[in-house]
Amino acid sequence: MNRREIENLVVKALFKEISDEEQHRLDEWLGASESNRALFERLHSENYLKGAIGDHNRRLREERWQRLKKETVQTKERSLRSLLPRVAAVLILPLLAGAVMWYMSNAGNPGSQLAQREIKVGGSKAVVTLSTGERVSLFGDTTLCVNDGLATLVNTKDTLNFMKNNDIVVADNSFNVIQIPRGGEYIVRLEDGTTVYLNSESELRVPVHFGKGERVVWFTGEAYFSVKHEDNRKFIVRTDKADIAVLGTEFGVRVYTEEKELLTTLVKGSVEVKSDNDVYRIVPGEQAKVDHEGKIVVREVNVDEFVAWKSGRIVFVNARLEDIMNELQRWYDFNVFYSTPELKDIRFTMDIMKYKEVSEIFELMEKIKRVSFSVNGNTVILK
Amino acid sequence: MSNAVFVDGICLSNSRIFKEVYEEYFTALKYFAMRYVKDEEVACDLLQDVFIKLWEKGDRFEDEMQLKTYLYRVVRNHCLTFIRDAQRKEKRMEGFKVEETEESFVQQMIEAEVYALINDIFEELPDACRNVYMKSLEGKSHKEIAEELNIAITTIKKHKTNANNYLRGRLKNLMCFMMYVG
Repeated sequence: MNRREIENLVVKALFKEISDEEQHRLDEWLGASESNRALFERLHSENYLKGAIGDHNRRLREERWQRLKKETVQTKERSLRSLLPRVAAVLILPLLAGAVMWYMSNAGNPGSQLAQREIKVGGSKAVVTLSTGERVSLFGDTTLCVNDGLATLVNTKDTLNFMKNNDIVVADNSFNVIQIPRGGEYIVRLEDGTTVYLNSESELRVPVHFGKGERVVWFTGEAYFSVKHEDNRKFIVRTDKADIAVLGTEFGVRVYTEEKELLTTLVKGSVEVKSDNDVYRIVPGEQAKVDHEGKIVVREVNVDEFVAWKSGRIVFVNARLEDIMNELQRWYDFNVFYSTPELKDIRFTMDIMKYKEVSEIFELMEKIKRVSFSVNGNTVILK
Repeated sequence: MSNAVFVDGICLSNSRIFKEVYEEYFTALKYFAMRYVKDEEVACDLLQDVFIKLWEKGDRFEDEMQLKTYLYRVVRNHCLTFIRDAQRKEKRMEGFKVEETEESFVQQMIEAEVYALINDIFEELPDACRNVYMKSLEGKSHKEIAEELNIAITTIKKHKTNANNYLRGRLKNLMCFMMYVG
């Protein structure tokens, strides 16, 4: 019997709220040793119970906390001092992992001096820049806990969690920035419970703490937002083309700076897309397209096609080869050369698993249309 | 701390978790410390020292069990050091003898935790209710309590029913939680 069970049984027995079965368990424990029985009797004593019932610990605890917090959580030195070794550990871990991987890849190819770069499948990767300017690299299997005195970040597997902190209210303009490199993806859980799935080559800037008012984040790239609903407290995704304002809903955003338009695809709830000179409210199944002049066009789309990447797929519907290659490059990180410009306009429709080797995708495409891929290191030549 | 999520153990350098741990264990640890030092003010001061040290170290614990045992040990050691120092200074505490066995340590933890469990439940109830309970613990009849507290017997009965219903609810939850951890 564990201690917690004994404690609960004892409390129940004291207040005569114990069931027969529980009493039986308690008797077993009481019979086990003389000292158990003595303890039980002590707990039945008038003095003990009067203390437990009449003591005002909540008030005392609160008064004492007011004193304690000044010497603990409100001291700045502690957080700074503690941050250094932690950040160091965080930085060393990936370095070590990298060294091991480098060593292993070399060991695997004893013939080549410099192992030729191959096209690799993407994975969980992110770089976090803390409000203090410190940069932390995250890989899928890094486990870390960083407390920079302002916020606590906990990373496990493929998810970075910003922990809610009720004590310190910082109304300044400090931010944490999460960058996803080529061939990377990551999940970020914000302090309000909102989850953001970040696709390759994306950047999310979040305040260290959301203030009392609107929750605002800055974003470029591709992401899927699952926003925690809060009455009267909007969540706003600010981009260079438009603002997307919601109360709580799920939607995909695509706003790469090199692309001319912003796409907001709504899965659930309702969002408002607002550019400098236009505003639209869309419903699930609709997509708002904002062009570089701020003009908004709303159309009905097959939502799955636009958010499939989040569930490990890449979907192209009648897409141009050049666009397809651009998309694949983000995830697999390789260079492309077209032997003739006409190739760029060949169209494909396919639904592929993005954790597959890129060569399998090329093979599939060769079967669909008259195009051939030759791979040399991390360069792909199309003929 | 049933509602807290510890993805990565319990990290005492996190101010939110630190506060939660403090709040969770204050009552039990205060009671525990008072078994050694008797005076509430002194016990609270010792707890304060312990928590400041915990914060400065910013240790991480695998799970709650590990943390709990650590907390009790640190508080006990701190109390014993305090007593030893005081004994050196003042002759009058000379008689204090500490018997320490592993079993008595665990029993003291149980005693402190049961105390905190009960106290936590009663802290939710109004003072009038708690007074009635304490008086009946002294073996007083409703009539005697009514006279002492200058209230009607029906009020006493009402307090008791309310408190009993409330207790029953809380104890049921205790059972649920117990099955959850057990």
